[in-house]
Amino acid sequence: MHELLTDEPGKKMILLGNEAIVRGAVEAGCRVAATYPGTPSSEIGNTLHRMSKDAGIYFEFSANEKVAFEIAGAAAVAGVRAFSFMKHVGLNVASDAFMTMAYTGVRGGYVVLSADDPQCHSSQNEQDNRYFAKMSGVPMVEPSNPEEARQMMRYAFDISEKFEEPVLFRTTTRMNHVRGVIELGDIRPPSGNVEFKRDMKRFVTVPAHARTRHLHLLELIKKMRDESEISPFNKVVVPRKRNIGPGKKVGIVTSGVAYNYVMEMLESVELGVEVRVLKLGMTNPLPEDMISEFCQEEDLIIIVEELEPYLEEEVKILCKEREIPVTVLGKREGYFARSFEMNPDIVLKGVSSALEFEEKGEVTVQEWKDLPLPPRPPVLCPGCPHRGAYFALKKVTKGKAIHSTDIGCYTLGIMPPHSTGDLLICMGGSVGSAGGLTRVIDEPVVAHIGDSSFFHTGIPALISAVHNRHRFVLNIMDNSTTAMTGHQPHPGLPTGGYYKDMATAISIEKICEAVGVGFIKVVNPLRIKETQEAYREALEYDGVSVVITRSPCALLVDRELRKRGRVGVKYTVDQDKCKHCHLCTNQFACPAFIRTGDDHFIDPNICLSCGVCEQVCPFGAMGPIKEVDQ
Amino acid sequence: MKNENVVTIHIVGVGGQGALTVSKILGNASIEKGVPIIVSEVHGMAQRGGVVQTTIRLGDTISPLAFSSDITVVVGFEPLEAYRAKGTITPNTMVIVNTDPISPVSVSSAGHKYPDVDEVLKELGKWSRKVYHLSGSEKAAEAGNSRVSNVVMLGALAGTGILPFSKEEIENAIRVTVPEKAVEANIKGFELGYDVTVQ
Repeated sequence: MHELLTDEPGKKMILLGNEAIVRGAVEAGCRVAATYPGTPSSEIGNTLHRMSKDAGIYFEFSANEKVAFEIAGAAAVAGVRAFSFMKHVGLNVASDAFMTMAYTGVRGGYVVLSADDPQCHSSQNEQDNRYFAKMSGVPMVEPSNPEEARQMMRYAFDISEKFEEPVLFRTTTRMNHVRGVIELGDIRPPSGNVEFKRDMKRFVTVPAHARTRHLHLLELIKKMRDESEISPFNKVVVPRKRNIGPGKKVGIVTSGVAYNYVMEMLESVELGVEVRVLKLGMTNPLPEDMISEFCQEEDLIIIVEELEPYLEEEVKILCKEREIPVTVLGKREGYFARSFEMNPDIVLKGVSSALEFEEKGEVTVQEWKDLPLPPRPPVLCPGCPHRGAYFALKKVTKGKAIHSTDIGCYTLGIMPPHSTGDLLICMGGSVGSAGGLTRVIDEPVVAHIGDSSFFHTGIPALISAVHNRHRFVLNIMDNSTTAMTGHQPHPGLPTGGYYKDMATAISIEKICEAVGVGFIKVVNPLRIKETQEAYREALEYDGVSVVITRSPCALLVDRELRKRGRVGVKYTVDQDKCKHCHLCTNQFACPAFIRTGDDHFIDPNICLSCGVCEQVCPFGAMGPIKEVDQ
Repeated sequence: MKNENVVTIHIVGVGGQGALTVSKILGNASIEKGVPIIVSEVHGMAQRGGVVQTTIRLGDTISPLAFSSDITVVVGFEPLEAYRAKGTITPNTMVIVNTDPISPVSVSSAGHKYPDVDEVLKELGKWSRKVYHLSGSEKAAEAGNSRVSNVVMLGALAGTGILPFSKEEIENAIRVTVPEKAVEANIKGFELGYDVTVQ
C-alpha cells in the first residue's frame, strides 16, 4: 500500500506540498480526480497515478485541462467528491467550463486546484489566478505550507459541499515544491455510485436558466462571505517577538507563501514597532468585517502578497467605503513589485521602506572577484531524439525557415545551435499560429509540437489548417511520453491513469490521415539521413505536411536498460580521425561533448548511446567504444 | 538578519545530481528525532541540465526561504555553481564544494570558459568562514557506486558537526530512504565524505 494511504491519525510524515494535497484529498473522501500534467502541479498526478486504485479514487490523465475539469466537475454535479488540478495556464484552457460551473454549482464537494508559478520557473507567464475566483464568484483558499494544504483540502471539500459551489484551491510553486512535516488526519472512505437527480433549471444553462443561476450565485456570495468571517484559516497572528516600541502600530495583511516570509522577518529583525499580522487563507470572498476590525486597530497597514495587488485593492476599497482612518501601503505605492516571487529579503526591503526604518545590521564588505561564469540554461538531454530531428531540419532549411513552437522539452531547441523558436505562446499554439504566419510571410514555416501537446490542443488547429488550405510543415516530435513534466502518459499510449496497461492508444498518423493531411511521414530522428529526406519532401509539399519524428525519450530508454542491469554502448572520438572542424559542438551540441581547446572528447558518463554523433561527424571520427578500448 | 533558531543549508548544483535524495534523507532524520524541517526544492524545467537550488531549514521556522545573509552552509555539488551562489555566502557561511566540474554546453558549443577550480576555491575561501572541498566522484568510486556522490556530500556536511543529528541518526535515515540494494554503497559514501570534514 502507498504510504499516503497510511491510516494512522496523528502520525507525522514529511511530504512534498503536492503529496500533502493528495493526502488531503484522500482524507476528504475524494472519489474522482483528473488532470493534465503541468509544473508546478505535476507531482499531484504522479502520486495519484501510483495509488488511486488502492484509495478507491477514479483518476485519469485527460487530454487537456478543460476535459479534466469537466470529468471531475460532472462527477461532482452527480454528487460525489471530485478534484481537478492543473497549472495556472491550464485554468485558462478550462476556464470556459469553470466560469459557467460557478452558475450551476455542484452537489458533491468539488475542488479545482490552480498551481500558479510566480517567477515563471517552468511557465510562459506568471498570471495571478486569484482573479479567476473574483471573476467567477467561486470561493478560494490559499495554503502557505504543506500541512496547511492538507487541512485546507479537507476544508475546501466541506465548504464546497456546504455551498454547492466549486472551490478554487490556489497554490504557488513555493508551496507545491516545499517539503514539510504533516500530521495525518482520519480518512473518510469515498462514496459509491450515486443516483443522478435531474434538475434542468439548474444544470442546463440555456439563457433563461443561466439568468436565474447568476442571481443565485450573487446571493450565495453573501453567504460565503459569512463563512469567510468565521473561517479558521483567516486569523490574526501576533508574532512571538512583540517588537513593542514607541513607533506606530502596524498591521501586515498577507496570504499564501508571502506569510512565511513575513513571519521570518518578524523572527529575525527588530523593527521597533508593534506589528500584528492578518493571515488570510480564504481569500474569496474576503472577510470584510474581520479586515475592517483589524485595520481599525492600526495606524498603518502594509499589504504583503505575491504578484498582483489583489488583497491591496480590496483592502483599500473597504477602508474607503467604511471610512477607516488608516494608511494602506503596498504595490500601488511601489513598496513591492507586481512581478516575480518574494523572499524574506524582498519582504524586509518593502516593509522597512514603508516604515522608513533602517536595518542596523553589521555591514560586511565582500569584494568577490568577477570570475566569468558560463551560463547553464536547461538543455535537451544527451541522447534526446529531438536533437537529431532539429539537426536534420537545420541541414535542410539551412536556417532559412520561421519556426512556431510549443510547450514541452522540444521547446529547448530554441537555443543555439538549433534555434527552432521564433514564436511561442501556449499549448497547441504552434499549429494555429503557423497558419497565420504563412499567409503573410514568404519564408517556409515549420510548426513544432510534441505528442502530448498535439493531443492537448493541436488537433483542432490542424483540422482548421487543412480545411483552410494553409501551407506549412507540422513537425510532430513524438517521444512517446509527456516528458517535461515527469513522463506522464497521454492518449497516444496504451498506458493511462486508470487503465494502467490497457488504455486505448490513439494513432497520431491516423488522426492526420482522417483530417485530410496529404503528406505524412513517420521517421526515426536518430537516423539523420532519413529524417533530412522527410523534411526536404515535406518542405516541398504544397499544403499542410506532417513529419512525425518518433523515438522514445532517452531518459526512459536509459531507465529501462538500467532496470535490466544493462548500459548502452558509449561513444568516443577517434583522435587520429578528428579534423577539429568543430561541426559536432557547433551544430549538434550534445551535453556529452567536451571541447578542450581544439580537441574533442565524449564524456562516457554522460553519453546515452543514441549514436547520432557517428552520423553527424563528416570524418567518421565519432563511433562506439570498441571492446578492446574498454 | 539572523534567525537564531535555525540551521539553513543551501545546496546548489546541476539537475540530476541527487539533491532531492539528500533532502529526503534529512527529512527522515528530522521526523525520527522531532526536529522541525522545511525544504524548498526545484522541480520541472530546470532539472534538464540547468542550475538547481535546494534550501533546507532545520529548526523552528515556517519559512522555506531564508534571508540571503542567513545561510549557515552552502553545499556546492559542482564548483562553478558554488561560485554562482556567492550572493548567499557571508563571512559566517561555511562552504563545502564538490570539485568535480560539470561543464555546461555553453562551454563546448558557445565559446564560454569554465573557471579555474583552484581559483574558485581560493576566492570562496577569502569571503566565507571556511571552505571544505572534496571530489565526490572519487569518493563515490571508492564506495563502489558512481551515483552516490550526493550522499558523499551529505557525509561532508554531517562531518562539520553543524547538523542537529549524530552520524548514526543520519545513517539510519539513509537506510530508510534509499533503495535496499544501494544502502551499503550509500553508507560507505556517507562515511567517506564524513571523514573529510570531521575534526
